[in-house]
Amino acid sequence: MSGLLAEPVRVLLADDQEKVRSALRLLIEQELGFFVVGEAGAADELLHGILKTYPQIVLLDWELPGLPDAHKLDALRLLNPHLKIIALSGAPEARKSALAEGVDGFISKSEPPDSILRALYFVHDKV
Amino acid sequence: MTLSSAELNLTDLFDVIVDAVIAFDEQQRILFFNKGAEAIFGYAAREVLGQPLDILLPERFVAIHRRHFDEFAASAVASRAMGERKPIYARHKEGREFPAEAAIAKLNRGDERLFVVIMRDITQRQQMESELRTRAQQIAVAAERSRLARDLHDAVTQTLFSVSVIADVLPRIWERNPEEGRRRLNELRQLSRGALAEMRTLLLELRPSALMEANLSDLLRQLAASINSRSGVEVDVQIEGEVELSPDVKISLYRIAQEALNNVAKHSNAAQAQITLSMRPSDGTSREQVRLVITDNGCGFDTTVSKPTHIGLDIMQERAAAIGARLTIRSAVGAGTTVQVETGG
Repeated sequence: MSGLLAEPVRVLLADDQEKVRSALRLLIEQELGFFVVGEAGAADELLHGILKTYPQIVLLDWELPGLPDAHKLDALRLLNPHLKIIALSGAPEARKSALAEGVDGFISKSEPPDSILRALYFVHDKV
Repeated sequence: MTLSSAELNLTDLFDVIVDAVIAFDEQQRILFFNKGAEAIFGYAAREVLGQPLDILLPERFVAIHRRHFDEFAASAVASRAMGERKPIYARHKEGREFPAEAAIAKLNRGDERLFVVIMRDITQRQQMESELRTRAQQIAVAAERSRLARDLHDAVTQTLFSVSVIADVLPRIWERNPEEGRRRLNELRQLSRGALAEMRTLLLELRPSALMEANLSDLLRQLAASINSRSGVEVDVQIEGEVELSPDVKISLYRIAQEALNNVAKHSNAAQAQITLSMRPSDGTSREQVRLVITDNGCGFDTTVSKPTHIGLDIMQERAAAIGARLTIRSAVGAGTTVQVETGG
């Protein structure tokens, strides 16, 4: 499915901080296989974004304001059961609970930016 | 059914009480010493009966106890708690002192007067209270630390994460488009300065004494940079005049500015805010005057409606009142907010 001629995979960025979204956009836009379709700064914008921009992957700030404490992904999966979700968190200790909730990837914000791309390519192959 | 006092053997009754019950006459000779007293003081009753009460007191308290006793004996009061304001101390047979709680009563027996003291050793209770206090302090410290950790995460981590992502891609961007590269480099510079300001602002919370040492205009500039970095709101700082302020005034004004700007960042959706600090030294006729104004171009709020989230506004009012300043808040829905504090004049 991947390859130069394939359609780039559609990615939606969800993080409450504009500077974080801007940096992620910059990182992802360097990669030919991906296309940033939109940004969301809170849970309601994220739900709208999923409906309007048809992302295949959401890069999701695990502490995004407005998301419930548990079952964070229910509403997202309801809108699109095939959506791939990569959680991004400032708290490395959130990994376990994020994986338990069924995210397709987890990256701590203290890991080098390379790991974001690695996670994107890993999930890309499953899209 | 009622009991006559003859039927009720008082000695037996006093012996089941765990508190010390000690009776003595006007010359302070011990006349009665129950089992509770034996346990607390380490003396057998026969060792102390007829002895002066002083043997149960630390030597340094003998004189003052005598004075309190004389006052009580002469007063019309029938009974009184001893040492209501601070614990009293008693002396064990082995010489060690212990804190105690006691009450004294006087009884008339014919011409004679009899005094009864009921006393309890509160060593354990004091230890428990002190442990509870320590525990409460530890909890407060832990709560403060976790708040700081959250602030560090919300602020510095996010900024440094953005820095590290941009720095990672920058070489590739530079190769393809040097102009875009320079623009991103400038962004890196601003982000890292912002992270520095945020970190310094948080360090002030860890070391509040640093607040007293710094001057207010520097503190406000740092606060502005820190808020800008965290929220993206552009904060302009204008300083007019320079006056050496007392630590109280300086810290209160800083806290008010901090609260006002946190509100701007969290609730106002503003793009811009301004801090204006005008200071005029005292002259022959008037005291020094300081005016601090924080305005924003955000969504504003209805000042006539009180909400639980407006608790910060009350805290600002209290801080202003504590330094004798006037604080006014002007706002309306859609028209931004202005917070103004004025001292002196």
